[in-house]
Amino acid sequence: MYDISKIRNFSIIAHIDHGKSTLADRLLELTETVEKREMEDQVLDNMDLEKEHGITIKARAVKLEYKAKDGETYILNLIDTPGHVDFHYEVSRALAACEGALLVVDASQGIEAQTLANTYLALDGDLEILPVINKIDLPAADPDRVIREIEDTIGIPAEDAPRISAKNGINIQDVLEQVVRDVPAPEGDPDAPLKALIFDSYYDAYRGVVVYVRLKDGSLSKGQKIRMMSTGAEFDVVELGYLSPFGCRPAETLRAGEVGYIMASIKTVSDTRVGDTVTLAENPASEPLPGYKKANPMVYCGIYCADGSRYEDLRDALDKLSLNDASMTYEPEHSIALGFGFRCGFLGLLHMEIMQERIEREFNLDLITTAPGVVYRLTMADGSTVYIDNPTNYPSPGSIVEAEEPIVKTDIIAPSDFVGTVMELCKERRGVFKNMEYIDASRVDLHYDMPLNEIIYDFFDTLKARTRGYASLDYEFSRYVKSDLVKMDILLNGEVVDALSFIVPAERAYARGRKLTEKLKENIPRQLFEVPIQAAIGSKIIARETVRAMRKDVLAKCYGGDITRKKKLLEKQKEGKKRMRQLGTIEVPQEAFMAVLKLDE
Amino acid sequence: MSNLSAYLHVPFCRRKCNYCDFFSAPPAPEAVSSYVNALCSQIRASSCRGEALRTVYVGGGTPSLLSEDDFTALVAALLDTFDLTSCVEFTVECNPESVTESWAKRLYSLGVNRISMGVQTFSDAALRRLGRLHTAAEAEKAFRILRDAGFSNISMDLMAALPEQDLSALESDLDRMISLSPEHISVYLLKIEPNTPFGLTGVTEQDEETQRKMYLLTHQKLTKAGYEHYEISNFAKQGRRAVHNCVYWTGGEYLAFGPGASGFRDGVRYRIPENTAEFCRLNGLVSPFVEERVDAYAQKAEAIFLGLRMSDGIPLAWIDCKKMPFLQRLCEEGLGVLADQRFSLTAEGFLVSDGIVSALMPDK
Repeated sequence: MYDISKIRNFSIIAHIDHGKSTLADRLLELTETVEKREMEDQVLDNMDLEKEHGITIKARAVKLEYKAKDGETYILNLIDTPGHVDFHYEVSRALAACEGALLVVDASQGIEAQTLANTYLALDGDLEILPVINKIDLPAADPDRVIREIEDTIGIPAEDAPRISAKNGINIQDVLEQVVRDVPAPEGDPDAPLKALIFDSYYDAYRGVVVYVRLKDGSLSKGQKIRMMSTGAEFDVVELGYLSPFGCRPAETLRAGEVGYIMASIKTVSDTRVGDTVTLAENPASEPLPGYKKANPMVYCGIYCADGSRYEDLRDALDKLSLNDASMTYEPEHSIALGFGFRCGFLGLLHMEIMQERIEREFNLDLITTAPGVVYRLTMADGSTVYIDNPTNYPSPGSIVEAEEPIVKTDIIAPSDFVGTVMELCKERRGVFKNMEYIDASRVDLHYDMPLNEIIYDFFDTLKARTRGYASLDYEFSRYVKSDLVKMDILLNGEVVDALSFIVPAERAYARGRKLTEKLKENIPRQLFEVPIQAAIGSKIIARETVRAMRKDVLAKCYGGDITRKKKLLEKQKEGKKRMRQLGTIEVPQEAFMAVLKLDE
Repeated sequence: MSNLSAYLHVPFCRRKCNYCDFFSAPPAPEAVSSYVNALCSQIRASSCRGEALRTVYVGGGTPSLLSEDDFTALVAALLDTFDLTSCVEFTVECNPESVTESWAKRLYSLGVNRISMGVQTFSDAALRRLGRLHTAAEAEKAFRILRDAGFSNISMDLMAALPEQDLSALESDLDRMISLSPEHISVYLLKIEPNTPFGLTGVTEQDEETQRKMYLLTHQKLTKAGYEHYEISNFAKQGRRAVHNCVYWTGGEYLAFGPGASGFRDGVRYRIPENTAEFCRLNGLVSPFVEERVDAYAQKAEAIFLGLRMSDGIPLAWIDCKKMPFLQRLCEEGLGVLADQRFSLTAEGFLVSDGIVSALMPDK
């Protein structure tokens, strides 16, 4: 029976590794949404990639039925969110479909930078925040300290927070009771004109686009004609229903407050924008729901197919992925070295890596990606302002009056023992110290202004390495600041390789140029001819290395019985070359283009 | 004129050399005569009966383990089956330790007109290390026996870049080789194969730079001594190229006899199974298996990679014109030569020819 007062829509926010997915699994188990024997670890993370990274990338939703201690049965819609810094946009989408959020905090590790960022996002959305202390059975657990931390740092009461172990199933029911008691029931009128928020969607090869919606007002039934309020596109609902861990469970009608899916033979990806409002073609709502704050990409790179003939497949992959990740942007570009590809924008480095891996795995494409870069703002001699996201398009220095680079507000939470280490690292990366707060006696929150360009070069890995994994990082765009920038070109055999050009602060140019030429030397195999590698600013060469020519590459014997085998070997060698990029008479392996991504200076 | 050749494989060695991964094994008692009977029977059953053979090559293994009478039977089988009147080259491989005066004379009288002898090195210590059964003195003696028996076309094999060999050791090997003045010399850079005593005991090849120097030294010395460097590993006096081997490098056809032998006929590369006992049991009437059917693409690929093994090179027309800048660059770097509408490799080019050829292989 539909009863809006018995519906609870909530999500879980947590730092990576604080046990969000495990808790989600326990909730499914306890409500018998999933039989224990069907229980695959972490049911909600159903992309392989997520299981491997141990993180949730895409929001997922699932409907649970829970008979509470008050004797009533409640419908709980759990909307999963990713925890990582790069996925603010995803989080904000999930949160917009909820009335409450569980804030899961590790009883031994306490609050992390990303937890804070996501919690603030939830507070902004007027969500009820319910703290949950996880991993209480760990020897290092200190729930009292963590509860104080939550109260002091976030300013919400946490005394009654359930103390649980998701892994070992301790006190899970307390969490469900807390959800029933403290998450507000949705408000909405099932008889009003339909307003349904699209919070996710994906492309199914057989059924077209499947959209995930939260109904705010009104009702929707099979066979009705829907309209997308931002585009005006209209579709007939072929199927709708609720979401289970194993896919779609069809139903006749969805009503205000409920969460479910819609299939309407939607073929074009661009017709279903996440954040858009669905209404009925007859009796439409007068105004759409407020959308999400559009997240702007901050990190750009070129993405190309290793096999140039698969350009169309790459376009298709990007089209499909952008359907449920509107935060990624892409535009066709052409590189002399790499051929046709796309300039893609991402929210951050992890976002970039995840998307690259998804393209490779889900669409079976081999990619070459160029070094990530940020968007520079240039004031030109003619007074115009241009934004440059591709080093290839960087104008000649003479025409630039002023160059600016993006600065991000950076929060780093680390044990106080590592304050010196973190400060040193931030200084190396041109960070400007703002202030520092003690979260408790042993942990500090450091605030820096950092050039984003410094963060995308290995900053997170280095930070983790230098703090033995303890530090956590969050950042958001702050402003553009004037900077002394130069464009560095890499020449192979005297020719500029456009895909290897990058923008660098003048003070870093020499070091980066030397490092890069060395790295390229390691990654370019010896070939028939000597390959000079040069780094240049304008016409000035600042670093040079040489890959020596191959000295011996011949099988001495080839007689009657050797011909077939020998021919196969040569064909294999030829195939190996195919995997390389041919630049004039030089062959450059794909890895060389990637090598520039990891330059630990 | 006939364009057909024949290769006969003798799968026996008294002892396997430490570097060798060819198909051969020590003969069991009576095995040799049983094998010769089977081989003769296989020849007589050939579906190409009556055709003329231009070259015959008996290789191994160690063909000189076959007695004079064995060879007499073998040649009889060939003569009964094929037309040998236009046979320009009949080569038998041998090892120095098994060459005797009467053996050499008998072979010469049977019409064998070319001997290829595995010398490998003139250093006795190195010969022992290689697992060879002869000494340097025996090699020189065998050479004289062959000359005295009437052979005016002798080829000798030498190996370079042996373990612990330095440039001066190779130079003295080359000097002794030149002073014997054989008509043809093959020089192979030692390659360590995995399933050989060398490979299994962790012997490693000399570093690339040393191999390179040795190869170029060999080229210079033998060229200066009047030998033409006509194939990656082969040198010949004027008019003394190995006619049979050139069949392999020019896409010619050859029949296969004996276990482990390979043949090429009517577009099919085939092989006789490497099972001597079975070969003997079936009296040579075994079914060859197809290794490859050479289609138009494979034929083109073979022509290019085999042709570039030879100093004659290949017609420019065989190469995709998009590759011209690459050829130009090869010539600038001294690796190749463009002349008379042909492209060929220099000695330096031979040294890196796998890289060059794989770049020039046609697209499928």
